[in-house]
Amino acid sequence: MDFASSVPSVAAALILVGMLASGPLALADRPAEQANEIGTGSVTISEVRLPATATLRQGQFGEDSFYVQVPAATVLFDGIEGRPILTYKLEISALGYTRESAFFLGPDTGDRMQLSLERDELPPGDVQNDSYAGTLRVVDRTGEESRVVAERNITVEVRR
Amino acid sequence: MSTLDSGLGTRLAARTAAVRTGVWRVLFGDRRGLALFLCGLCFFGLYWRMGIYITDGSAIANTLVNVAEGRVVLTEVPYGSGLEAPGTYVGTDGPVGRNYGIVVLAVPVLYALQGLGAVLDLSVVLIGVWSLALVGAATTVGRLVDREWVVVGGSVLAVGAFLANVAFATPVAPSLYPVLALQIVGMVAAALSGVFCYRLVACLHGQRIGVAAGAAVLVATPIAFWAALLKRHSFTVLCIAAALYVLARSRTAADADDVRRFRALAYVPVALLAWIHAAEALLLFVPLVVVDFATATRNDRRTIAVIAGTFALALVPFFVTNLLVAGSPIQPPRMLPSYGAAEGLDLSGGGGGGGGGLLTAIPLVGGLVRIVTRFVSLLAEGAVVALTEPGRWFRTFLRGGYIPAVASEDGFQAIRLTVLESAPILAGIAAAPVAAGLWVRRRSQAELGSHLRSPAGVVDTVALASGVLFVCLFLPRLPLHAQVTVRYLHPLFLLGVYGLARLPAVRSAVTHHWRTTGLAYGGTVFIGGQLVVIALTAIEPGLGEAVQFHALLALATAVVLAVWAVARTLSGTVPERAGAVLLGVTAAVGTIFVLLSGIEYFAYAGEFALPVVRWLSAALPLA
Repeated sequence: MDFASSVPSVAAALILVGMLASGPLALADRPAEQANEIGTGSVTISEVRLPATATLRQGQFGEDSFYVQVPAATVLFDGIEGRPILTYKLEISALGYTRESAFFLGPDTGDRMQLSLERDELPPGDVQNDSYAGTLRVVDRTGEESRVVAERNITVEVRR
Repeated sequence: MSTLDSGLGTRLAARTAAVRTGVWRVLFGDRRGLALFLCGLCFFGLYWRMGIYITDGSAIANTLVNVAEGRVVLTEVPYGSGLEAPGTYVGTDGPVGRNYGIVVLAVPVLYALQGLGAVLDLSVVLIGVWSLALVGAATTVGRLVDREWVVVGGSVLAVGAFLANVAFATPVAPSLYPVLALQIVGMVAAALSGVFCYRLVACLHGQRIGVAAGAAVLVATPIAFWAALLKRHSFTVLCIAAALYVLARSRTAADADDVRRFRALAYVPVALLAWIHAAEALLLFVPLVVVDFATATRNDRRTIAVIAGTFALALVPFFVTNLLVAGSPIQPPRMLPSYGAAEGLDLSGGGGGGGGGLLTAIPLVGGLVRIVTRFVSLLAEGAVVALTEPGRWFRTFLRGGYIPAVASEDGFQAIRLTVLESAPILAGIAAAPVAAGLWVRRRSQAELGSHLRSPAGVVDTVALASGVLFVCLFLPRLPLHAQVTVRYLHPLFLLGVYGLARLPAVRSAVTHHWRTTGLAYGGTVFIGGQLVVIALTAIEPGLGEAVQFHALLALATAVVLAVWAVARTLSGTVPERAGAVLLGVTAAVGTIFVLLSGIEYFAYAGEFALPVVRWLSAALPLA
């Protein structure tokens, strides 16, 4: 019983010491400021692979909304300077729908990147057709002007 | 309390207890209460996200920032859309917030956080406090069940968890401190709700079922879901639990002084609830005062004076706040006109009352009459809706699914559960009408009368009436978006668990087969929880799908429990152990939803206080 009764006190003491030590340690552990500003620099792209289709999938289990599901795009880089920004964008004009996600590149990016779009929901009443025409784009949004890097007309299939 | 229950020397024990009364004893009662409290805190900490989950939280955080600097008027509004945040009102001296009762409780916590944050790394402090709570929980539980390995294992686990979390800790921005302070008092309130549920049930039916009921409130209901989410609901539940417990004590106390004292104390939580949400306090006050006075053995002048005096004294903070905010002691913030245009989520009731100047001109009595009339008409409207719109019942209590009008406000997602879908364990309540019917049929009118005066009868009546009033007030607004678990009817989860514990079939199943219940619960959480994760990983669900998957799972288990509870109530041949298993399984299904929703589906509410959970959240490939 002696052993068991002293364990909690020791544990509590260790945790308290750890908490108290956090003050001085936190001062030494300040993260360094980012040198380069996001959205400056440039990117050279050798290849962009865009998927041919996307889907509008109706939910299950009583969820009636449609999920906009887009496969990822793959971008291969020749070179990255500074901290440029790429976006991946889907447009379904018949539905008045667009979705664009931004990806921040930098020295750690490597020579390729998967761009993916978060799943969106569309209300069941909006989706009437069996398929829609859509456009996928990868856009370079570094600096003031944006530049379409790749574009593909795709079919958005509706799955009920 | 256990000392009070023993027959011999009750008076002496009561005196000793009175002398030893400190905050500790008032809040936890005994070591089981403390164990539940610490376990509850550790559980809530697992999915504590530091941030504001729904927009309503911004106004209360804004209120805290200003109250902490010594003013009720909002001059500094750093959160959400500032003064446009829902829950901001037009006071006499400028914009004001609401839930001042919660805010005042959070002020000392905020000062403590600011102090600690100035000299230490606050993220490490929070991890440390959670780890200390785990040491405390393991030690208390281990000593209660007399298992050394629980004490040692829990302590070692706590140190390990502390080190692992500290390794990944990232600094907490000071701008988040007010949010953290509110989250901390919210979690404490939620944990205490479980403690008071335990004390209430233990006071009527013994400790084993009491602990089970308290634990069920803490881990198997949406009380856990909302514990750290900056809403008032945990406090509402706590005040109701505390009032019912003290009321039960007033009926079990042996000597007249104690009876009087406990009766008076029962009104204190009501007064504090008024400080937080006046309308909800009325829903508790009316049944309490009617039933208390109708069933008390003595209503002499002295008793009435003590009760009225205590209640008036406890209402002082409420009156003072209203006076400062609205210029009238009986006008709570929610009755003021909304500051922002976008209101509609809360029970303001007011809004049409004109400016502050007009309101102060109305004499107190007139104002009171106006409030009572409006309140009664709201309840009457609710009663009519409740009786005439069964579809609303169905979509609020049983199966929700996709409701276009609600989903459109929830980002076109079916992320709204019904009462039963969020707490399948409440399905056992299906047996309550059957049990009550059987009970009444077997007894005479005189016995019925004496039962209504018994401790359990008194608490039952108040609980039932209060629950019905909550439904009447809020049902016309339901189903509604941004509810997730029908949080407007939050007290029903407490009252439901209490009701379960009152059912003879449920009570005897849990008391006789508590090991079975515990094993079924643990097995379902740890094995069933993993199966749920695997199934969902295969399905790759969206948020709404995942939530509805849990809804269907809950309904499936709930139906089986309901069938068992009714059958067991009707016939003794139905196996009791099956019920013990089902109660464990339904409780676990509730727990699985709370954990996965907190860690995964709604992880966007903020950074995890425990960084290891952030890693777990990222590793789970769901929603």
